Amino acid sequence: MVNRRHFLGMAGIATAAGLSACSRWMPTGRAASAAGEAGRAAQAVRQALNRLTFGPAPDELDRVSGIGVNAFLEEQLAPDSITDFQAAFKVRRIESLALGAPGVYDFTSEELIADLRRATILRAVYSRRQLFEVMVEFWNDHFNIYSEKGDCAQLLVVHDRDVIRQNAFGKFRDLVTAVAKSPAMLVYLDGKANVSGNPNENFARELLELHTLGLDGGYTQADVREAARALTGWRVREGLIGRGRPDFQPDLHDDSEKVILGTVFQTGAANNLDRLIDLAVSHPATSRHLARKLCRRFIGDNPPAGVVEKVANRFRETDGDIREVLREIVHSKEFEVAGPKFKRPFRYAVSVLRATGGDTDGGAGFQKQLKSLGQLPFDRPTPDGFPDGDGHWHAHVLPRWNFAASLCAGGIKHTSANLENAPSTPEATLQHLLGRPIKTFETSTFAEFREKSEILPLALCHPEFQYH
Amino acid sequence: MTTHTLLIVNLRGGADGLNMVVPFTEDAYYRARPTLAIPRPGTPGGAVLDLDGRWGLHPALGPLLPLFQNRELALIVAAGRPGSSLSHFEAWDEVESGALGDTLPTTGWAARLLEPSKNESPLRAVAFQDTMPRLLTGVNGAMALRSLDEFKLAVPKPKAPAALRALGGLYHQTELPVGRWGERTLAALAALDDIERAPKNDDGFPKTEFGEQLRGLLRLIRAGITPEIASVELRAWDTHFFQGGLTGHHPNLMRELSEGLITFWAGLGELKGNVTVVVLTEFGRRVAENGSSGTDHGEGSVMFVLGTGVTGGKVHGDWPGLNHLTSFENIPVTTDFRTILAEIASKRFSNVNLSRVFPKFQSSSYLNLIT
Repeated sequence: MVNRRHFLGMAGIATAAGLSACSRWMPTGRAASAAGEAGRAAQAVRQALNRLTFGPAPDELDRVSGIGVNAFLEEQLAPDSITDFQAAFKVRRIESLALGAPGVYDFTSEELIADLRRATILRAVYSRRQLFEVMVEFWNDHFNIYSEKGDCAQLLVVHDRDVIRQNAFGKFRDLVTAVAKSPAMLVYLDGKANVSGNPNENFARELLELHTLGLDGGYTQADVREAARALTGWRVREGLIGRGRPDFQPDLHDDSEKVILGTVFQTGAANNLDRLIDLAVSHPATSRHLARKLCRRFIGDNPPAGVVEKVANRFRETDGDIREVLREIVHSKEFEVAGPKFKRPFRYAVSVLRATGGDTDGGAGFQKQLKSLGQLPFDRPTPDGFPDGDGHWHAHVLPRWNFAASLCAGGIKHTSANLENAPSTPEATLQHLLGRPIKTFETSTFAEFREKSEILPLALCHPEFQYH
Repeated sequence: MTTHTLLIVNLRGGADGLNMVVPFTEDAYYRARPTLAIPRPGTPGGAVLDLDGRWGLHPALGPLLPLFQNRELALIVAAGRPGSSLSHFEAWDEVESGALGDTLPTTGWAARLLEPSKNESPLRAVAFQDTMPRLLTGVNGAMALRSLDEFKLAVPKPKAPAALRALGGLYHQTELPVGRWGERTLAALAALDDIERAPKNDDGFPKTEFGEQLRGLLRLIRAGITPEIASVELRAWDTHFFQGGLTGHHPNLMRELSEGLITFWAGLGELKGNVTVVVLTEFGRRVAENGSSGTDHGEGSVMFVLGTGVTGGKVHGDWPGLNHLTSFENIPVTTDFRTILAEIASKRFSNVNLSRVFPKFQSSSYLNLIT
């Protein structure tokens, strides 16, 4: 139901930016074509939008040129204040997203994971809460879960909604704690099998190595073993009642004394899990690990040590407040002057649709493309998540060319590039996609290409459009 | 000189070598693995396949037994990456960069192995996966591709030449790093232009990504587009939970591995002499099973070397016995993976500078895996 407040908000957005797909694929006005000082300002806006969103939609370029990057950031950091009619409307039709455990078991894992991927794609393409979606993607990599393991497909429905989305802009401690108790993670990294007397180290190791301290974070193999004991007893309920819910069983919890990271956990202490996570999250290595990873995502593959240290400090000062950490990054000089960063495949595909005002149902056709591109959400088997950094991805450009070609030829089911509203010349197309005038050699490269249906796919294959 | 192909099969996740090549004469094995141990030879209902009275092959690796018997397949126990850091990611960084420690080379050992070669093929090194592994990072002319079948331009034939020309123009002119990758991709597409006409007698591969990778490689080699290094991967060996003894997850992986390899090997026919295969993993599993009928991260595992001229039919390596474990109760690594790779590199490739391929590594004497 659209209530009154939503409706008013909607009307505001509609006049400010337009809602229809057509208006999103208009050659940009002041944002792109201005020269000199204004041109540099426009480039700065494009750059910021490229990093803070899944790619600038044309209307957004103009709007943010007006209000400024800082105002945009503040707006994005308050996602509830952004009316998100279009994304909400598209996603609302996916009923399985609202399911809890054990209701999820009424559906097959294939149905559920297809739905969850569809929602992920639709939100990335259509949501106006772009930074929130960018961070959801970041956390889904940081706390990667593979849908094919056990009943993770079922449990991911709840995990994505109640763990990741619930805490994506919150405190890092709350996020890690929620992840550690999440049935999807308990299944994926075998935490549910970790019981007193028979510890299973899988989750404990990744908690320290990937989720918190980082590989060089100064913990030992002995810490991993002790941490595993502190995490014992967290099970996932089976059987008819409450299947798929977390279930702490005190008699399977090892509450004898342990020493982790030099701290003694006394025999009989309650809340070993919370205490362990407290210890790990407040460890200086964790702030540096998270700062480095976030700077790599938002600034560049090799972020300068200075900014990483500043962001790590902010992480510690604010007790891991994710929004404060993001502010620190975006306000940094390094963010402002960051060079081009190679898009990961998911971002590439989504940015194509956003830049062209394209449409997708996020369904099987688009998901098959993401698989070929190499980054289908929830399809990463190993707990490190899809890699970041150009070295991993740049050998894999052919699937991008094929995505662009298929999209513009109408070859991706229920997905289109909105060709009819596309610019009709190479000059206008490159100006639109890259924010700069065409170069001489490009004029001759595009010379044989006269139809929109030929110009657009080639422009989407342009090396510069592979970067953001 | 015909190009020799070294195929590296990466078992990702830390493969439990102890249940693949089983020391069935040791009681300690059966004590450590009450639910997972593979029964002694001849036990009704499923048992290891006796190799030499001491070692038994898991029955799911049975398809490889003929290769062992005709001495093309060598097995090396207590092998792998020495050390007790049990992070998958750190371990692969070390295995693929061919070094240990905190400051690893950014290039792969295979990349450094190929440095002296004059081969200009755009497919001289191929990783069958979505992302470029560290192993091949630094090779001029390495490609990462998921599937050979998908590696073609999705543009209708009449329009393809113009599209390829235009892409060539754009990627040639850019100063962005992706430029050279675009150019390599175009060169590879040109090289593969008529590979569809290559003989297709390659059925029998597992219908999985791993099977598809091997099938693609076989087609490349049979079409005369011979990579010097190829890398394929079989994932999900991280068996912390109900890994399965005779049947289940771990045996299914072994079956996929053995069926893929035997099909690949048979498909090579006359070309076998040009190919050497190494199977490796980042670490083995703990000797004692854990509380969930799985195994946690360990140290020593098993490696395979397959080829003509290999001293096969033998279980190589210095086996300390299950009563001599590391301080973490793991199988120690008595044969460093680099000792095995260095021997293959020096005997199968030309102008090899081993101190550059494996920096700071003093190989102990070779196992004489290759005559």
